[in-house]
Amino acid sequence: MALSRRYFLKSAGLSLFGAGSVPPFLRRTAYALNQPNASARKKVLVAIFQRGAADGLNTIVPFGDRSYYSLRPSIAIPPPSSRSENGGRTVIDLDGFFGLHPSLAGLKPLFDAQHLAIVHAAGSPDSTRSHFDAQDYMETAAPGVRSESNGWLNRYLESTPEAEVTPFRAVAVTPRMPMTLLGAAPALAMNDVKSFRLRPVDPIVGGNGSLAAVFESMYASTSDPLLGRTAREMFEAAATLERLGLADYQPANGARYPMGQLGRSLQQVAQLIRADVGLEVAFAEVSGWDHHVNEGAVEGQLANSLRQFGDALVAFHQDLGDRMSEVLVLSMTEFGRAARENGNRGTDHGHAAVMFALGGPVKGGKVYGRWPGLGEDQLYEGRDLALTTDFRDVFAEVAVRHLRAADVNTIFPGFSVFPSRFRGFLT
Amino acid sequence: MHGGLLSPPAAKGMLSSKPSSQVTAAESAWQKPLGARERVTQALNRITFGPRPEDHDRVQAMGLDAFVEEQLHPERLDDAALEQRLAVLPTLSMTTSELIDKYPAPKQLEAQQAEAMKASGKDASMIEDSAREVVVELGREEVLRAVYSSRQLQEVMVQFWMNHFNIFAGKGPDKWMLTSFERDTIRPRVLGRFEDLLVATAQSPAMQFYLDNWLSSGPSPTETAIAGQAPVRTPAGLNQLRRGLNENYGRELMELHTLGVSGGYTQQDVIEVARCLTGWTLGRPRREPEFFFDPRLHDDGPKSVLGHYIAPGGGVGDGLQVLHILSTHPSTARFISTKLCRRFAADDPPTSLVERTSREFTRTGGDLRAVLKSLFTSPEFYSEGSYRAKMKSPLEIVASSLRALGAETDAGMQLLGFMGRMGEPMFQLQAPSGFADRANTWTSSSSLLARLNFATLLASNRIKGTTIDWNRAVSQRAAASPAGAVDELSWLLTRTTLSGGSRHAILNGINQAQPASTRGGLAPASENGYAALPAVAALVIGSPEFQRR
Repeated sequence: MALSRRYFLKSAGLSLFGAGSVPPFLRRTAYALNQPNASARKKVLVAIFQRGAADGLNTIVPFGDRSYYSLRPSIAIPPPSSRSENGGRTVIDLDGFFGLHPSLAGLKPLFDAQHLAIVHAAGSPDSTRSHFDAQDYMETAAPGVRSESNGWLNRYLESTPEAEVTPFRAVAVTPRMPMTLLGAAPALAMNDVKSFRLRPVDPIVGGNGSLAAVFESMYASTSDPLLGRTAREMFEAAATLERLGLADYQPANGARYPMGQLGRSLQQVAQLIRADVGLEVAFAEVSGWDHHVNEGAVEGQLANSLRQFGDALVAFHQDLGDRMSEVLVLSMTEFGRAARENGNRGTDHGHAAVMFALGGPVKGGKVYGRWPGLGEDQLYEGRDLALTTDFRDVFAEVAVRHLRAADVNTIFPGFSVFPSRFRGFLT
Repeated sequence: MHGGLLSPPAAKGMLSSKPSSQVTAAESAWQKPLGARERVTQALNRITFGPRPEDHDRVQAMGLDAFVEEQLHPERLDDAALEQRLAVLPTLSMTTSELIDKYPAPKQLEAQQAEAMKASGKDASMIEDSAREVVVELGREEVLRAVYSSRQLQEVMVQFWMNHFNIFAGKGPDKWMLTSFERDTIRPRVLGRFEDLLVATAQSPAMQFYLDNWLSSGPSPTETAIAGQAPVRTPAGLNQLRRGLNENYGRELMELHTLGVSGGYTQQDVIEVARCLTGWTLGRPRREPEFFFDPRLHDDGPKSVLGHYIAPGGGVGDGLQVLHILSTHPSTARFISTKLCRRFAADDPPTSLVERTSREFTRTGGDLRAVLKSLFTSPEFYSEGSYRAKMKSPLEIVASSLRALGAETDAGMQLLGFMGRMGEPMFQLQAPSGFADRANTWTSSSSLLARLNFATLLASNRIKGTTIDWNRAVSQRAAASPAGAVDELSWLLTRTTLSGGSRHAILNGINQAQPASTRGGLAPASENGYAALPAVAALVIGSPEFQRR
C-alpha cells in the first residue's frame, strides 16, 4: 500500500470515470492508502443476526437445571455425565451447569482460551412473539416502538463521526440493507464483494466504464435523496474495490469456511478487514432457525444450523489470527424458543435467548447473566425462558467499551445506559 | 413540476426529522390532482407492469374508467398470445403429484444432498436439481406473464398475493406445490372475495406444509389412534410427530395474513386459533399431497377466539369459523387495505385513502374487485402525492423495461438471476412475511449496482434469451440526433422527460465521446446513429427516474 493518494485519485479517475470527470467525492475513497500502520487500525464490530429465533436452550444447554430435561423429553441434549452411554454425543460441559451443543465443539477451545463469552437469558423485554416485530425492535434497539426505523448501529455511526471517511466504514454482507444499518449515516449493502463492480460495456461503445461515469453524474444530480445517496455510496465502494483488486481471497492460517450463508459472509468480512479499507461495523445474517417441527437433538435440523454457525465463527477467528485482537463478533436473535417442546418435536416462539461474543476484546471463558431457572413458576408467561439481560445492555457495553461511542445515549432512544448494568464481558 | 414530483415522499426513517413545513407540503401533494397526461401514466405505472409504446394512446382514447373496468375483468380479455408463450413450459399445467413423479428428488440425490446440507447448512440451495427446474419454470412464467399478459392487473395482483401469502420453495416438498398454489389457489381468486382466497390458502398443501399446520393436533391424538385406528393416508413414520399443537400457522395467519401484528390478538388467541385448525392436514405430502380434515387430529373442546365462543364438536367447521371471524374483522379490512394502498399509492399512504379503502372492504364483505375499483378511482391515487412515489421492485424493473422496448424474451435463467441480484430471488424468501413493499427494501448499494448492470446488458442485447430490436424499438427520428435519442427513449421508458441533470449527463456523455474505435467513449451519433442507441437506452433504464413508477 505504498501508493500515494494522488496516484490513487489519478488512476481511479482514468480507469473508471474518463479524463476530466473525476467526481468530487472520490477524494473520500483514498482511505485504504492512508493507513500507515496497524496501530491506527480501528476496532471492528461484526454483528451476526440469526433470523428466525434460534433456540438458546439447545444451543447453550442448561444441563444443570433439572427442569430442562422434563420440558424437552424428545429433543433435549444429554448431559455430559452420560458421555459413555451416548457415545460422546452429549452437551460439552463449559462450567458444570451450562454446556455447548455438540455441533459447537469447535468453539470449546475458543471458550477455554477466553476468547468466547456467552450471555444467556438475554433478549428483548418486549413480549412480542412476532419474528418481524422482534427483529425490528432488536435492530432499532427500540423494543415496542414500531415507528422507529433507524438502526442502532447507524445511530452509532452518526453519533461518532470519523476523521477519515471511507465508504467501507459500515458494510452489510446482504442483498438488502438490514434495518440495523438504516439511517442517516452512509452504509453499504454488499452481497458479494467479488462481483461488486459495474459491468464493462465495450460491445456498445468500445469503451470500458464510461457509461459508469454518466450513470454517476446522473445520480449525483438527482433530486431523489434515497437513490442519490445509495448511488454515491455504491460508486465510491466500486471504485475503491476496483483499485484494490480484491477479487480473490485466500483465507489465512489454514482457515476453512463452511459452505452456506454465514461462512460466505464472514469470509468476505475477513477479506475487507484484511484489506484495511476502514471497515468498522460489519453485519451478517443467517436464517433457518425457526424449527417448529422436528428440531432434532444431538442430530437434526438445529444441529446442522449450529454446525454451520460454529464452524463459521471458528474459521473467521482462525483466518484473522492476531487481527482478532481488535475484532468483536456479536451474535443476536430476535427471541428464543418456548422452553417446552411442542406437539411436533419442535419448539414454538419463546422469549429470552443466547448471545455470543467472540474476539480479542472479550473476557471469555464464562457464561454471563443471571439464570432465571426453568421451573414452572420461573418461566416467562408460564412457557418461556425468562429474561435477565436486556439486549440493550449488551449493545451498550459494546458501544461504550468496544466502539468507544461518543454519546451512547443517542444510540438507544428512550433507554438510559448505566455501565453498572453491563455484564462485563468486554475488557 | 419534476422537482416536486420526482422527489419521493421521504423514506420511513426520514419522516421523524422532517420540519413540519415539509410535512405539510407532503400532505398537500395528496390534494394536488394530476394533469390528464400524468393520470394516464399513473394508471399504466400502477395497474400494469409498465406502459408499452402503444398503451398511452390507447388508454387516452378509451378513457381511464374504461381502462380500469377492462383490467378489473381479466376474464373478458383474450390472452392467447401469452398462453402460446407459456406452452413451452410443461410443468405449468401439471398437478403436484405429476411434478413429484416427473421431477423427482432421487433418493440417492436426496441422501447426497442431506450430507451436503449437513456440511453446509445451506437453505436456499436445498432444492434438488431436477426439482429445481419446477421452481425455475414457475419463475419464468411469472416474468412472461408480467411482460406479455393482456391481463396486467390480474398479474399485478397475483404477485401481490403471492408475496402476501409468501411460501419458501426450499422447505421440503413446497417446491412441487408452489406451481399449483399459484395457479389453482391464488390466480383464480385475486379479484374475488378475500375470505375465499384466505380459505383456499388455508387449505392449500403448500401453506399447510410451509407453516406446519398439517402436523398440528389436539392434545392426545395417540390415545385416539390407539382407540381407533392409525390416521389414514399418513406415512407411518410421521405419526410420531403428531403429539400436540403447533402454533406456527395460527400465529402467522393472524399476524401476516389477516389482522396484522397490531390487530388486537393475544398469545392465547394464537393457541385457540391453532386448536381450531387442528385436523386440517395433508395426506401423503411427498407423494400426492391433498388437503383433508382428519377428525382424529382435531381438538374438539370448546374454544374462544378473539372473544367469540366456539362450541365443542364443531369439527372442520371450527377452522372455517375462525377464517370467517378473521376475514370480517375490522383489523383485517384495515391491514389489507393499508397493504393495497401501499402497493398502489405510496409507501406511506394518506389516512383518508386507507380509511376509504377499508370502508369499501367492509361494506362489500371483502370484495377485492370493488376495493381495487375504489382505489383506482380515488383522488389520492391521481394526485401528486402518489405520482412516481413508488420504487420499482426487481420484477417491475425487468418487466417495465422489456415492455417499453418491445423486447422478446424467454425469461431464461440469466434474466431470473438478475432479479435475485437486485434483491428479489423468486420463491427463495424463507420468511412468511414476504418482502416489505417499501423503497428501502429495493434500494441498497448491491441492488442498485445490479440495476445498472441489468440496464447495460439488456440494452446491449447480452442477456441470453432476451432481445431488443433497435430498428423497431425507436423511430428513425430518434436515431438522427443524440437529443432525439434521449428524448424518445426517455418518453418510451419513463413517460416523462428526464430531469435536467440526467438529460444533461447523457448528452454530455455522448457529445464528449471519442470515436467508437478509441477506448473510453460513447460512439458519436454522427458516425452511426443507431450505434449510440443502446448506450442511451442503458443510461435511461439505469436513470434515477426509471427506478420509480
